[in-house]
Amino acid sequence: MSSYNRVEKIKYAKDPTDVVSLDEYIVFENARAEEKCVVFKFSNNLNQQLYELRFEVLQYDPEGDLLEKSVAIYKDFVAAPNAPFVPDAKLRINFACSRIQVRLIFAAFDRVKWEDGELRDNSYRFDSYAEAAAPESAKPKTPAAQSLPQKKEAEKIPKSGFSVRHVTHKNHAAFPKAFDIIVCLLILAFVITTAFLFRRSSEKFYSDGFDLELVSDDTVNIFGYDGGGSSVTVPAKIGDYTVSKISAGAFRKSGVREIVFETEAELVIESGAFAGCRSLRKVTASEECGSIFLMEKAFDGCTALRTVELPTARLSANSFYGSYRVEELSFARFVSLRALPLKSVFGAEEPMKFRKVNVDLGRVPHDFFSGVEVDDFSSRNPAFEIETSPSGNGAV
Amino acid sequence: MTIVVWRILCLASMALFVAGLFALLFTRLLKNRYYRDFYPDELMRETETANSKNSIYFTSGETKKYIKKYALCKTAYDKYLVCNFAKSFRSIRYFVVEYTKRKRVLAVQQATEYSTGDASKIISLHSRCASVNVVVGAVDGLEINHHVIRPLTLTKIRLYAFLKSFMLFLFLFAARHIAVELILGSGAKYFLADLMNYIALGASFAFCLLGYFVTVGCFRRKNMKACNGGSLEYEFL
Repeated sequence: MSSYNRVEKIKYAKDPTDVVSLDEYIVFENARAEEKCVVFKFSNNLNQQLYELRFEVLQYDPEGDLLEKSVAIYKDFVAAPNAPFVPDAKLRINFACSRIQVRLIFAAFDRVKWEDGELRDNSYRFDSYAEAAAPESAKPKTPAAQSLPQKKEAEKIPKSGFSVRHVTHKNHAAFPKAFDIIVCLLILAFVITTAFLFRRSSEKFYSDGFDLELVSDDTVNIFGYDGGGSSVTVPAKIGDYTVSKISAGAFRKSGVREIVFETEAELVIESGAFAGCRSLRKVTASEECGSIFLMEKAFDGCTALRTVELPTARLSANSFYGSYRVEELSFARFVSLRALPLKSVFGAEEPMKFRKVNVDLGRVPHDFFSGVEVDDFSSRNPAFEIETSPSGNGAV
Repeated sequence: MTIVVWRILCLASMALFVAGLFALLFTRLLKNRYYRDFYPDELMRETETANSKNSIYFTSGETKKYIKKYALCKTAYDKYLVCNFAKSFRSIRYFVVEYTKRKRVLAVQQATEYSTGDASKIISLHSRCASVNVVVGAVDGLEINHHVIRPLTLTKIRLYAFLKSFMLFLFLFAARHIAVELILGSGAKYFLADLMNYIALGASFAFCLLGYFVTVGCFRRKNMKACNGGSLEYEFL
């Protein structure tokens, strides 16, 4: 406002009945630029907040002739109830204007609107109502009210007034085809990627009919067999790997008839490794074999088993559980330090009969032979002896 | 499952895939069906000149009220059609269904004319076209036949989608197995017992199931009455 060389403050005739009245206005005049503008000071005379104001400004020259008439709109402000307020914007007026007259047109308050001297409810109103709209639809449509499809149809009319197009179509949908192709690519990419990763990371491999699992750099476990053939030899080494264990279920329910162990290192036969091998008749190993540890139920339910020649084997209780037809038995000792009764190896309740039993045991409990009948018993250990029973009688 | 079982399943899925392919090919579920079969129009006159053979036929059915006759002109190289209207119309839309000698639909053309005279403009026909049927579509804003091609029924869409999705699953099953055997060789059986294999199978199944719904959805959208039309049988009187 510094460039204005004349500032005049004029009190305005206040009408107390107005909801918004003009208290005074200040005229800023810049004679050099021949500019003049006005800043108003209004009063909100209602006890409601004022949000919008629209008023008419009539500009008169010194002779009293009307120079210009303009409508000013102030929006997006809030004026406190029953308080004066000054709108932010100033109004530019004609430089020749010497007097102005202001007339309120519209004012929007919190709950009411003032327009043309009337106060109306400011609550929400619909533009049209169903009952009012219904008869209108029956009226003939004006060009402006034509529906969009009709307009479009009118636009479609070719200039030539004639059009022919092929409407034969094949029932194909592009998106499902694209979807199927994407699905195929995704699934195959997933399978190929995972297969390559599996090959790199898996420790399982297949050799000579055995499913093998790498345990360390030079030892493997046998966890499956599908080599076929009735006689299976478990070698000391498969490839460069020493066999250290036959895992549970490795030969489960296989049709093998004979098994030969040629292991040099210690070999553990886990529980259930040969479970359910109903065709198995003979299990043998040479005396040069490493120790073979038979865990509980390693040869579970091998009902046809007749000969067990494992001179280096160490048995557990129930190692041959359910294999009651064994006639020839050869083993070294037991996994536990204390010897067990012979019958407990088979978990038999009925008496068992052996043609030949050969062991490498020293001292055996007094009930070692209880419930069994042996035709030919021998021990490779010269210190073999049977403990006396608590009652003082021998058990043989 | 052992590798043998997987191989049997792979072979079975390949066989089923081929069978499904033939089933899709021969059932022709997506073949267009028409509201009208071929109707031999009454021949009015036939004239033969040195270069051409012109036949004039009376139209039939509802069309007769609006299009009285049509002339079929066959020359050595081209075939044309000109219709004779019952009166001049502000607008007329009609379908020209072209048939082969074996009465199989060759093409369907939709002609629209405004401010017609007594005769239509020349409509060129397919070179293999032997006969035509003219079906009126709309006259002066009055809709008579919206289309001559029926939309696909929902049952057919569902059957097609099911067959297609099932075949996709079979293909993925076989392709997955072959890929695994090729990449892993003798170690394939360990992968087939691995969780990743079952994840791939589950994902294939899930995607195929989704594919079924996608196909049904897309075909239903495409075949909506509003888009594809309908005919007199869709009018609720």
